[in-house]
Amino acid sequence: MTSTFNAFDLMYIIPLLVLAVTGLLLVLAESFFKGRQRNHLMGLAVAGAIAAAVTAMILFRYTPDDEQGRLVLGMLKADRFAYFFTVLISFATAVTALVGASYQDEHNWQSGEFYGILLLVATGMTVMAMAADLVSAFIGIETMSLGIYVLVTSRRQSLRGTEAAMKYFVMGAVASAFMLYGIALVYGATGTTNLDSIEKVLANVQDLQLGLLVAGVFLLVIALAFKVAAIPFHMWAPDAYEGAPTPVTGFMATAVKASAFAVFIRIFVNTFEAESTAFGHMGWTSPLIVLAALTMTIANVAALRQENIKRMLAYSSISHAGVALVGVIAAGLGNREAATTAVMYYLAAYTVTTLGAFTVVAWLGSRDRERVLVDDFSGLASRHPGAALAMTVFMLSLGGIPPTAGFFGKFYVFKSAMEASDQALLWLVILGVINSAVSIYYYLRVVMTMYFRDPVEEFKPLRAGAITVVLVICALAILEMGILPGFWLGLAGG
Amino acid sequence: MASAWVLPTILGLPLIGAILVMLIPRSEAGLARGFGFGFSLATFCISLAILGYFDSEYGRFQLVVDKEWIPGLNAHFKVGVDGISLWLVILTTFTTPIAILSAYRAVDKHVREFIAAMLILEVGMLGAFVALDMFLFYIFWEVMLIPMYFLIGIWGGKRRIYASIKFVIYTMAGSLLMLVAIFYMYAKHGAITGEYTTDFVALQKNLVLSSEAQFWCFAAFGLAFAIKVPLFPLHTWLPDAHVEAPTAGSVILAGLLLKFGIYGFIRFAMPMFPAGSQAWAPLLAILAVVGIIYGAYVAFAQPDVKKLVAYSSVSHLGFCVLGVFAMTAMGIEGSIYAMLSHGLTTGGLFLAIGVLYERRHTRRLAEFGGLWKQMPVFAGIFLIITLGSAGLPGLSGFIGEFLTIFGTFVASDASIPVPRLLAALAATGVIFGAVYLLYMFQKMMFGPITHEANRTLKDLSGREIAVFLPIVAMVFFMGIYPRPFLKSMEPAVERFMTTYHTKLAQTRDQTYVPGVSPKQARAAESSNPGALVPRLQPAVAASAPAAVAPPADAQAAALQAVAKRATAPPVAVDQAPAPPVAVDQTAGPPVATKIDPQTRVAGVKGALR
Amino acid sequence: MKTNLIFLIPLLPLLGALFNLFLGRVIWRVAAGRDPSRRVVHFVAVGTVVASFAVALSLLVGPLFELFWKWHQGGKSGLSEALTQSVYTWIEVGNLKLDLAFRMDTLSGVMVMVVTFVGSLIHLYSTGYMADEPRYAAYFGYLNLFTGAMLILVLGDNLPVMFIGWEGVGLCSYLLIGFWFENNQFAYAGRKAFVVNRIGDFAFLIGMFLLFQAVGGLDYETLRSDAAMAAYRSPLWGERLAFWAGLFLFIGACGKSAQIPLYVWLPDAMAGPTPVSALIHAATMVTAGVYMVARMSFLYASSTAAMAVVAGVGALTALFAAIMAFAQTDFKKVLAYSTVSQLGFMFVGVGVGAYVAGIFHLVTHAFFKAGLFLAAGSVMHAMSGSGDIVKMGGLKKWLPWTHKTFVAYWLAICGIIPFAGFFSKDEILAGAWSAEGQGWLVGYGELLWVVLTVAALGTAFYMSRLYCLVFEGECRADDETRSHIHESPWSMTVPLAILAVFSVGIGFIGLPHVGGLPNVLESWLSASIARPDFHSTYPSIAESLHLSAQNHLGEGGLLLFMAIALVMGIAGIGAAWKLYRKGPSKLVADKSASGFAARIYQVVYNKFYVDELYDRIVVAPFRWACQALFDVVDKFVIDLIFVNGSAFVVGVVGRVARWVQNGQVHRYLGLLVVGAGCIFYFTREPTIDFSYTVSGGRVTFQADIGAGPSAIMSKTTELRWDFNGDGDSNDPEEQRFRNKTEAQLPIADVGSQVTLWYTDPVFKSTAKTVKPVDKNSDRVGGEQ
Repeated sequence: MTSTFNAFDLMYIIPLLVLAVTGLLLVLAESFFKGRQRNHLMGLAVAGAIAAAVTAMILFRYTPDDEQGRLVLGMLKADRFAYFFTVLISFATAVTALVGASYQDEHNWQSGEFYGILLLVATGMTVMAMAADLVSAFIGIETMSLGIYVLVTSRRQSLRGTEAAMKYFVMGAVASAFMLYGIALVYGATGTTNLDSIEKVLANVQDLQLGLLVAGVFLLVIALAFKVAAIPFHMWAPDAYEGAPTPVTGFMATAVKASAFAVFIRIFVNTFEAESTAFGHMGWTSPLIVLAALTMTIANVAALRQENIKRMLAYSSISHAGVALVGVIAAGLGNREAATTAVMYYLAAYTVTTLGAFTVVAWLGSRDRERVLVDDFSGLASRHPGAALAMTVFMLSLGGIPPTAGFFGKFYVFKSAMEASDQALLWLVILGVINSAVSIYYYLRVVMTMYFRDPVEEFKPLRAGAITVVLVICALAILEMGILPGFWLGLAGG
Repeated sequence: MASAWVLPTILGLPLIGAILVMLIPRSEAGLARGFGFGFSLATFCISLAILGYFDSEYGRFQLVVDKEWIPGLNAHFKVGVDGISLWLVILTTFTTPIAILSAYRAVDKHVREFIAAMLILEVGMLGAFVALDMFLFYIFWEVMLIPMYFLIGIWGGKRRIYASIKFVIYTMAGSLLMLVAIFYMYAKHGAITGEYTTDFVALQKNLVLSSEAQFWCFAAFGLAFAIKVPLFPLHTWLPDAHVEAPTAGSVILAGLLLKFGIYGFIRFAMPMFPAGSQAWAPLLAILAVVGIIYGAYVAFAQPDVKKLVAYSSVSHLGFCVLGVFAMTAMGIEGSIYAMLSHGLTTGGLFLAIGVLYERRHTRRLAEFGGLWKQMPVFAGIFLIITLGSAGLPGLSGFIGEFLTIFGTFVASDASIPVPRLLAALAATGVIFGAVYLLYMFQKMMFGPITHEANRTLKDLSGREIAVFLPIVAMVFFMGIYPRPFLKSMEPAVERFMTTYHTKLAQTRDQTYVPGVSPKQARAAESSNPGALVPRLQPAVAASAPAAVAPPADAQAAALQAVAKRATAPPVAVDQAPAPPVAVDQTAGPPVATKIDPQTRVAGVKGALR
Repeated sequence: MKTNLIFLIPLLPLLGALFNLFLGRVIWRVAAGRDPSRRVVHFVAVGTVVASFAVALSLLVGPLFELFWKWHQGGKSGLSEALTQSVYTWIEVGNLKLDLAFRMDTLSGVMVMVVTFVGSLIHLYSTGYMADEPRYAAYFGYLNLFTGAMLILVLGDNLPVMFIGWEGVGLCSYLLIGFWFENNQFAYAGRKAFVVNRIGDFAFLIGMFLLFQAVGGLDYETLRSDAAMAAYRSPLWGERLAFWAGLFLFIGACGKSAQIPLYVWLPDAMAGPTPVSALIHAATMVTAGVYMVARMSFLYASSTAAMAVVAGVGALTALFAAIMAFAQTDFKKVLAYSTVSQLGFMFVGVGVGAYVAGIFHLVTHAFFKAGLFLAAGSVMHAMSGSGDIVKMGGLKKWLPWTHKTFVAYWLAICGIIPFAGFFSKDEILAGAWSAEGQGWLVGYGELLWVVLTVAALGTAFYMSRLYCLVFEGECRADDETRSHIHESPWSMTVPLAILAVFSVGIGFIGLPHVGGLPNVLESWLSASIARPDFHSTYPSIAESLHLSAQNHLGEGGLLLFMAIALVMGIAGIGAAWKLYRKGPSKLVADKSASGFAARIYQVVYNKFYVDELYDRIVVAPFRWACQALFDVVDKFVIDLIFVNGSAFVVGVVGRVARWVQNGQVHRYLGLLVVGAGCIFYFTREPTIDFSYTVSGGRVTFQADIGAGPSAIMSKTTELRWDFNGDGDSNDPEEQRFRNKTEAQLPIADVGSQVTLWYTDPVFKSTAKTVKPVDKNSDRVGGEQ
C-alpha cells in the first residue's frame, strides 16, 4: 500500500469520472425537464457514454501493454483490461440510452431519472472493472446493483417490473452478504484486502490460516456466481429480465454480466491462483467447474421451452455465462493469458450480439404492448427484411455459428480451455459444445418464425433512426469480429 | 505462382454474386436468376482452369494459397487442391449452375434470396473442399449449413420446418464435437512442438497422437462425417430434408453436401488419426454395409418417389464409406468416383422428380404410370440416369460401385473384418439397387396411363433439356472413359495411404509418457534442456530414422509396405527394414516450426513416437 | 497379334443404336423437321449389323485363319495366337489395370459369326415383323444396342469388359421384353428378367474378385498363365479356389443362361416381340453363360467339383425344362422352355469338359432355335398375334414356307440325322457318358447321360406335339382369325429359309470321330480352349479332361450311342405323332381332364409352381421386410425413440426447470443456500491419481494431486506411498518418498499393486488410489 493520492493519477480514471459526472448532471438536470422534453436528457447521456468510451480508448492506446497497470488511489487499477471493459460498458450504456429513449416514447413512459441512474450504474461497473481492492470491488458492485434495482422497476406502472425488482433486491442482498463475509474471511487469513498484496501474501501460503482462506474464497465464488447468474444462483435472472423494460434487460444481460466477469478475473484469475487454494482437486476452480457445467446445461434446456423471447434470452444469457465461466476456469488452471483474452473477446462478442437482439425485441413492440413472444416474430422477414436479417445475424451469433463473433468467441474460450491443464477440462468443453448444439434449436426457432411462418398481424415497430443505426452497427460488428477476429483479439491482449 | 488466383477467385465470385444479387430490386426476379446463373456458370468456367494448372502426377496440394488470417490463433487462410478434392470442386461448380437453372420456374417467391442462398452455399462447399486449415475448414463447413437451412425452410414443402430443424440439429450435433477434436489437436500440437497451428498439413505431419487420443478424436470427427454421409443409423434427417427441400436444394444436398462426409473421412479423420480409424473401421464398415442393404430395402418401401431416391442415397453412400475403410487404392478411388457419379445421377434423379413435381404437384409413385408415352424424351433421360444410378457398366455408377466392392474384397483384414464377406454383402446392394430403381421406373414410366392428369403432360422444354444434357453426357463419359479422373486421383490417394500407414506405424511405436502434462514438460524443458528426452524410450529403435528421414524415403518405405499389404497378410509398417541411422539434427526434421533447436528435437521425438 | 479393326465389330451396331435412338432424330428434326423414315431406320440398323458381320468375316477368314493355320501346322501344341486390340485403358487403379481390349480367337470368332450372322437375319426379319410398330426406330435402336453389347461380351479380352456386355445385353433384354410397356405384365416381365440377371451378375462380380485376388489380373492371357493355373489349385474354404471362382461365375451364367434356379425369367421374357425372343432369348444372349464357361475352360478344368456342379445343374435343367414344355399351350412358351432345356444340354457339354460339344450345340441351336422362334413369329403374324397352339392346327396349307422351314428346325432339335442337332446333341451325350472326374461319384457321368437321354426323348416329344398342333390336323381357330391367315412377306421368309439351310447343314462342321470323318469345329476350337493334351503341363486339367469322348468310347461305342439317340428322337416323334396328329387325341383329352394324370398335368402346366414358390419365399418376404424395416427401424426406433425421445427428455428437464422457477423468492433463496452448500460439499473432496513408466529396470511413479493443492504440498498436505503392496506405508523406502510427487525405484522393489494416499490440508480428508502395476511391459501403464 505504497500509493498515496496523486492528482495526476486522476487522469487515468477520466472515463470513470466522465461517467460519474454525467450521471450526476443528469440527475440534476432531470428536474428541469418535463414530460417528453426529458428525452433531451438522452442526448447528454449518450454523449457522456461516448465520451467515456473515447477517452477509455485513448487511454488504452497510451497504456503500456504490461500486466501491472497503474494503481490509482490504492483502490483502482488503470490497465488495458480496465479500459477494455470500460469501452464495453460505455457502449452498452450508450445503446441502452438510445433505445431506452425510443422505447419510453413508444410506451408512454417518460422517466428522466432513467438516464442519470444508468450513467451511475455504468460508473459502478467501471469501478468494478478497475477494482484493485476487494473493498473497491464491493463498492462497485453495490453501486451497480442498487442502480439496477431501480432501473428494473423504472417503469413504475408495471407490476411485473416491481415484483421482479423486489425479488432481485432481496436475492441481491443475500449475495452481498456472502460477498462481504467472504471479504472479511480473506482479510482474516491474509491481513489485507488489496489484491496485489493478497497475491504476495499467498506466495507464502503455508503460513496462512488455510481454513479461513478457503471459506472466504468459496463465499466470494458464490457471490460472484450470483452476479453472473450462474446456476443454481440464477433464479432472479429470468424474472428480472422479463419484468424489466426491454432496454434495461439488454443492459442487464450485457454490461452487468461483463463487469461481473471483470471482477471475477481480477479477483480470482489475477489474485488467487488455483494452486493457492487447497480446495478439492482444482482449487477454487473446483466449484466453478460444477457451476459452469450446471449453468450451461440447465439454462440451455430451460431456454428450449420458453415462449417469451425475453425469458428465452435470459436463459440464453445464463448459459453464455456458463461458457464464459469455462474460460475463467481455464485462466485459473494455468492458461491465464490466452483464456483471459478469450473471455474478454467472448464478452465483447456477446455484449454486441445480445444488445442487438434486445434492441430488435424493443423495436418490435408497438404502442401499448411489447411484442415479446416468439410467435410475435412470425413472418417478420417478409415485412421487415432488414430487421429480420439483423436478428438472424444475432441469433446465429448467439448460437455460435460461423462466421459470426459468437462462434469465434465460443471457439476461443473452448480452445483456451483445451489448452489448460493437460486437457483436464476436455469433458467440460465437450459438454459446452453439446450445449451449443442444443442451443441452436431455440435460436433457430426465432429465425424460423421470422422466415418460415406467415405474418399473423401487421407490424408497427418503433420509428427511430437511432435503432437502425444500432442494429447496423451491431450486425456489421458481429460479422467483422467473426471473419477477422485478429484485431479484436489484439485489443483484448492476446 | 501463376495459378494462385484460381481458388480465391472461385471462392470470391459466388460471394460477390450473392451480394450483388441482394442489391437487385425485389421485383427484378428474372435479373436475379440471370445473375445467379451467370455467376455460377462463370465460377464453373474458372474452376476449369484448375484442371489446366493441375499436375496429375503430383500427389501433394496444388494451387496453394496461404495467407495469415487470425494472428492470435495462427489460423491461416490456406487453400489448395489435390487429386482427392479436385473433382469434387469441379462437381460443385458444375452442379450449382444446373441447380440454379432448374429452379427458374420452380422458385417464384423470394427469388433473389434464393439465388443468394445458393451462391453462399456454393462458397461454403467450395471452401470446405479446398480448405487446408482446420479452422477455415470448420468455418466453411458450418457456412454450408445456414443457406441449406433456409433453402429447406423457406422454399420447402409442407413439413419444411420440422425437416429444416432436424437437418440443422443433426448436423450441428456432429460437427461441434469435431470442433472439440480440432481444439485438442491444436492444443496437442502446441504442447508438443511449441507452435500452435491449425494448419492441416502441419498437423498431419507433426502430430502423432496416442492411440487412445486418436480413438476419441476419430470418434469426434467421425460422428460429424457419419451424420453428413449419412451412415446408418444416423440417416433419418436425410429423407426428411430431401422430401421437404425444393428441387434445387435436393440436388445440392444429394449431389454435394453428402459428399463432405466421405471427403472428411479421407481428408481429415483418417490421415490424422490412423489408429483411431483402424479401431473404428470395423464398426463403420459394418454400418456401411448395413446401410447399403437397409437403404435399399427401405427405399423400396417408399410410396414417395423423392423419398425413395433419398434412401437410395443412404445405400449408395454406404459403398463410398466401405470403399474408404477398405484402405486399398481401388476402394478409395472407387469411393471418390462413386461420390462423383452419385452427385450426377442422384442430382439428376432429383431434377427429374422436380420436373414432374412442377407439372403434377405430387411425388407419389401411385399418381404416375405410363409417362413414357407422354414424355418420351424425359423418359429416355430418366432411364439413362436411373441406370447410371443402378450401376450399369458403361455408365458412371458402375465404376464407383465396382471399384469400391472390388477394393473391399481384396482389402486386408487388418483394415476391416471379413473383407470378402462384407464385399459380398455390399454387392447384394447391386441387386437391390436394380430392384428399387427399376420398380420406381416401371411405376412411373411403364404401364397404361391411369391418371387423366398425366394425359396432358408436356415433354421437356428446351431449358429443361439444357439442364439434363450435361448430366447425361457426363454419366456416359464417366462410365466409358474414367481413366482421366482416376489418374489424377491416383497420386493423391497413394500419398494418402502412405501417410496413413506411416503414421500408423509411428503411433504404434510411440511411447507415451503419462502423467507429464505439457506444462510440466515445457517447464522441465526450459530448466533443463533435453531433460525429457531420455524418458522417451524408443520402443523400436529402427523406427526413429524412418520417422525423421527425408519424406521421400519414408514414403518409399511405406509404399513398399503398402504394396506388401495388398497381397500378403498385414505386415506392420514398422517392420519395414530401415537402416539404423542416428538422428540427424542438422538435416532438419520435417517440422516447420520456429522454435529453438533443442526443443525442436524433443518436440519431434515426442511427435513422432 | 495386334490388329486394329476388331473394335469396329461392336462399334458399328452401337453407332446404329446411337443413330436410331438419338442422333438420327436430332439430325432429321433439324434438317427435315420430322423423324427419320422407316426406310432410313432399318437401313441403318440392318446395315450396321451386316457391316459388322462383314468385318468379322474378313478378320476370320483373313488374319485369324492364318494364325490358326500356323498353329495347326505347328503341331497344335499349346494355344493358337489370337487377334487382340486394346482401344484404351479403361480403369487403372493400384494394381488393377483394365484395358478396353478385344480379343478374337477361334472361340470368340465362332461366337461373333453366330451373333452377327443370325443377328443380321433377325434384323432383316424384323423389318417385316415390326412394320406396323409406331416406335420403329426405338425398336431397332435397342436391337442394335443389343448386338453391340453382345459383341462386346463375346470379344472382350478381360472379364470386366465381358461384364460390360454381360450387363448391356441384360439391359437391352429388359428394354425389349418390356418394349410394349403399356402392358404392365410385359413391363414386369422385363424387370423380372433384369433383376434375376442381376442376382447372377452379383455372383459373377464375386467370382471376378476372387480370381483377381488369386491371380492378379482379369485378362484371359493372365487367367490361363502358369501362375493362374497354380493359383486355381490353391485351397480355399475346403475346396480349390477354382471351385469357388468357377461356382460364382457359373451362378452368373445361370442367371444369364436361364439355368436352375434362375431360369424363371426366360419364359416370362416371351412378352417381348418375337424376333427379340429369337435373337436374345434363343440364339445369342442366353448362350453367353455357355460361352463364358468355355472361355474360362482353364478355370473349370482345374476343378472337377466345379465341373460336376455345372454339368449337374445343366442336366437337371435340361430335364426339368423339357417336362415343363410338355404342358405349355403358348407357342413361344414351349420354345422358351425348350431353350432352357437345350441350354442345359450345352452346360452338360461344357461341364463334362466336352467344350467343343457344348459350343457346337450352341451354334447349331442358335440356328434352329432362332428359326423356330422366327417361324413362331411368322405363325403368330398369320394368326393375328395369338400364340395359343390349342387354337391352331393345319396351318401347313396356308403357310407353306413357314411350314417347310419349320420342319427342318423341328427335325434338327429332335436330333434326327443328318440335321444339325443330331450331331451336336450326340457329342454332348457321348461326352457325358464317358465323363469321370476325379472325386466324382461313381457313375455320375452315366447318370448325366441317362438324364439327358430322357430329356432328349422329351424334347422330341414336346417339339413334335408343337409341330402337330400347329401344322397338322384341322384348323381350330375361329373364323375371324382364319380368314386373315396369310404367309409372311419375303423379308420374313428369306431369313427363315436361310436359317433352315443352316439347320440342315451346319452339323457337318462337327462330324463324329467315326470312319475318319473330320471334325472341323473341334480342330478350330481346340486352338483356344483347355484340351486333354494339356495334362502334361497342367496336372489339374488332366484330372478332369482325359475323359473326353474319344478317349473312352471306341468307334463302335460312338455308333451305338448315336443309334440310341436317334431311336430316342424317333420314339419321341412317334409318340407325339400318335397323340397329337389330329389335334389333341381323345386319350390326351381324357387323361388331362381328371384323375392322377390330370393332377400331374396341372402341376406341370403350372410350371411346378416355381414362380409361386419364389413369390412366397423370396419376393413376398422381401417386400414385407422392406416395409417392416422402414416402419420399425426408421420410423419407430430411430426417429421416435432416439431422435424424438432425446428431444422429449430434454423437454422434461426443461419443464422441471420451469417448475422450479415458479417466482417465489423463498424458494429461490432456499435453492441459493442449498446449492451453495451442495457445491461446497461435493467439490471440496480431494482426489488423487498417479501414473507410472517402466523402463530400464526401474519404475517411475508420478503423482497427480491436481492443480489446487500442488503449490502448498510441502508442509500442509500428506502424501503416502505403498509400493510393495503390503497395505501400509511404513517401510523405509516408502517413508523416503513420503510427500514426494515423484518416485523412482528398482523394479524388484515394486509389488503387484501400488497405493497412494493423500490428505488435504484444510479438511483433513484422505483420498486413496490403488493401481496394479504391470512390470513386464516395456510400455506405460496407469494412463489416466
